[in-house]
Amino acid sequence: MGKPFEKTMEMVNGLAKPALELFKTMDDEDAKLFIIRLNDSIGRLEEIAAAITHQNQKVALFEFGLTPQLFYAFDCVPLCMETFPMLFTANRKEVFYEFIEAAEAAGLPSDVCSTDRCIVGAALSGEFPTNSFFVASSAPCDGTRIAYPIMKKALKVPTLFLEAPYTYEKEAAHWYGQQIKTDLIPFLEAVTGKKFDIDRFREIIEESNKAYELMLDIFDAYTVKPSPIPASISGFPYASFIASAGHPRNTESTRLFHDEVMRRVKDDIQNPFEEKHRVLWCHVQPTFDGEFFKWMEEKLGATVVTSMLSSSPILLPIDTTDIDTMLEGYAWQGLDMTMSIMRFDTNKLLEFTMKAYHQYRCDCVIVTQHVGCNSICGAAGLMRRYFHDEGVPALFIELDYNDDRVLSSEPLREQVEDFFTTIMA
Amino acid sequence: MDGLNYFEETASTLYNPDVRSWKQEGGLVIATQCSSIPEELIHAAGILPMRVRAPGLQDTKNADAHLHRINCSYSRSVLEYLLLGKLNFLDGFVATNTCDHHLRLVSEVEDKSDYSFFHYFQMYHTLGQGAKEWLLIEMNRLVKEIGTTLGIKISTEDLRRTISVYNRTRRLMARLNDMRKAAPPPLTGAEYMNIVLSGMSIPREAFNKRLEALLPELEKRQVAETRLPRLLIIGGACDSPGFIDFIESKGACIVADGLCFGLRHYMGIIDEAASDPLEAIADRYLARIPCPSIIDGFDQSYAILKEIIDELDVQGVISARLKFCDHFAGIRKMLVDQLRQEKSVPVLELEREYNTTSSGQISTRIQAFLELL
Ligand code: SF4
Ligand code: SF4
Repeated sequence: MGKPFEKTMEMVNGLAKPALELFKTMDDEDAKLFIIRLNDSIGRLEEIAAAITHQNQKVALFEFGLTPQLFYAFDCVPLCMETFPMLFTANRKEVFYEFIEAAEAAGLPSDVCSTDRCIVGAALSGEFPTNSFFVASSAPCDGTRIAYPIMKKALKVPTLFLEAPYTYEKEAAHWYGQQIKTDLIPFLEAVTGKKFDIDRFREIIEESNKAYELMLDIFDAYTVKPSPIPASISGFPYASFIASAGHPRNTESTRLFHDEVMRRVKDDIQNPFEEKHRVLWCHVQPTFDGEFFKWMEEKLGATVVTSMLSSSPILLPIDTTDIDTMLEGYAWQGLDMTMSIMRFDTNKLLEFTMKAYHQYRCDCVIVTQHVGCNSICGAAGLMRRYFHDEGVPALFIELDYNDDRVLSSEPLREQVEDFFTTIMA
Repeated sequence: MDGLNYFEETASTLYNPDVRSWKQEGGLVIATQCSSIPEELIHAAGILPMRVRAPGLQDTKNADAHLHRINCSYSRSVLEYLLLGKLNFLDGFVATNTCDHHLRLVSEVEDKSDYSFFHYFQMYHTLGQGAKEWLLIEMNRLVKEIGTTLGIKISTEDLRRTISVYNRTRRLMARLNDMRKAAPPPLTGAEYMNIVLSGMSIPREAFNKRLEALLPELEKRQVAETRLPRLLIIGGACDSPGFIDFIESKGACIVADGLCFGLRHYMGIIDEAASDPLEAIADRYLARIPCPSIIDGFDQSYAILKEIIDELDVQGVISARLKFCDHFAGIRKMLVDQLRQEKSVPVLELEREYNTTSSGQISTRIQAFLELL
């Protein structure tokens, strides 16, 4: 059993910080963007590490059916579970494998989603802080619904499960918001010993709204053809928002990123390769190969301009009029960002997918058939037929987006290359 | 035993003689995809609710082109049945999202069927107050949909009548389960499963009559004195009397279960005196042994299973997980940990496909487990 966050901080100190220093020495247009990203993640992870050493500070472990603002309102430091495996999959694969093995040794079969196996393994290996609590919703998938009860038993920290609606409508968001009011807020009051302060919550929501609006601007810039920035960095504002919405660091990083993107649009600075194809990625992209998107751009002229998960269906900042509007907006944001949208039936998923496809002016789709995701794999039949009928070129790739032992970079690249050199030629 | 033959016959096929007569008399039949759908609402509308299964299916070659091979074989089998036209006799389908396999089956059934009544019931996944509220919202939606699409208005009186019919079934089933406490029990696990499946496949009132007549027969039944290991079985979508028979043929006796095609479907009495019958039905669903898809359901599940293990003198548990079923992987892990911690009974972890009734590997593992007992 290691010390909490030991492996994570080894990665921060041994890899992320040296990489940051290296980028600072580079005379490269894109280096600026990578510096913003690294500063943001290092700052966030160091803040969690610092919180772990203070027993009176609480770390809020949370699942992606929520965003972090409410945790900041209780002065907690948030850690989004689903973003955790990706810290290791590209750069410290051996740690990722170790967590996976710990989960399997404890009885989780290898056909369970690797994100959830990794989280359970990390919990069993002592990587998560114990001065913490845990909040998860019942959406979106089987993997999370089995991982979190196991984690609850392993971590022995206060835990709250919220009932998430599977419908996409205002009433459902309102109902989820009311559960946040009646269940989550009292839970947070109990675990932190602090009273809920609506003014503080409003302040934090307003802070996150600033970042959200900047992010919407950035998303707009991604519709520009050719794309102003490389795909390997384009997911940053979204990832940062999930991890730390409401924190001034998130707003600042998003602002810096935003300004750089806007400068490029204004000055018509384009990627240094010819953009022949604009790709919509359905579900999660492979996280184990940090050079994959760059390779797609340079070798095939194909830019992944958005993913169906990150082109969030809710595109409004949270209405701060009163507690109910705030909670409804907050609820909706949690439910309809990230992989939470995998909870919809296949027709609804297709609707979101096609909206993003047109909005970002894509000309093809790549669908991850993540081998542990019963949900995206089960959607393949209807998706395939729909894309065929609509004349949307689509490539379905069976892989594990975390684990290169299922499909490694080389055969992955071969499949993608075949698609672009035959179907898309 | 004559009485038991009837249950075996009605369990072995969905479009059984009782259903045929029901349809000939103008009755409607609506399938439910999961035991968590409150079928009482369908019954209260005067419609026959039928838990969908795929008995006797050999392979899923058509369905595999639509769902993925990592979707559990139960969901693929239901789709295969639909594609083969074996569900054409149905008048409607209530689909649901208990798990991701079911969730994807929802849209497949909607796409590939032309039932005049198709409803997507969105399942609750916790046990708290939020879940109860959500379940009631969904129950009201289903009632409304039956009204608008089929023109059938469900009254409070209809609901009360149904509750009484369902309570009667559940009391009879409780008596049957009590008999299984005997050593040896008067009926085998496979015979018990036929009764369970029959109750999901024929009109309830007829089932109650048949079961009521069977119980005294069983009480008088002479069974050979044996001291076979007493087992409890859990697992998803296990509706195969053949599989139960196969386990018992190795020298064991299945005396209890935590299956959705079993105890979960029949346990719990609905409060007949409650002022709001819908709420009373919801309460029963939330109080029974929870499906492993309920994120905070393990402790309630464990408490119920442990009581059964103690009361029925269970010596071992068989966990028959369908391949790729995450939920039963989760409950299995937690159950094994907890039983081990309490130094209770051992668990045999099996993996099977929906239509497995026997296999060499499973046979060896069961034999080794029984020797251990
Ligand atoms: S990939 Fe699928 S199974 Fe894994 S966490 Fe996401 S929705 Fe769940
Ligand atoms: S057996 Fe498991 S995967 Fe299959 S339908 Fe049931 S809960 Fe879902």
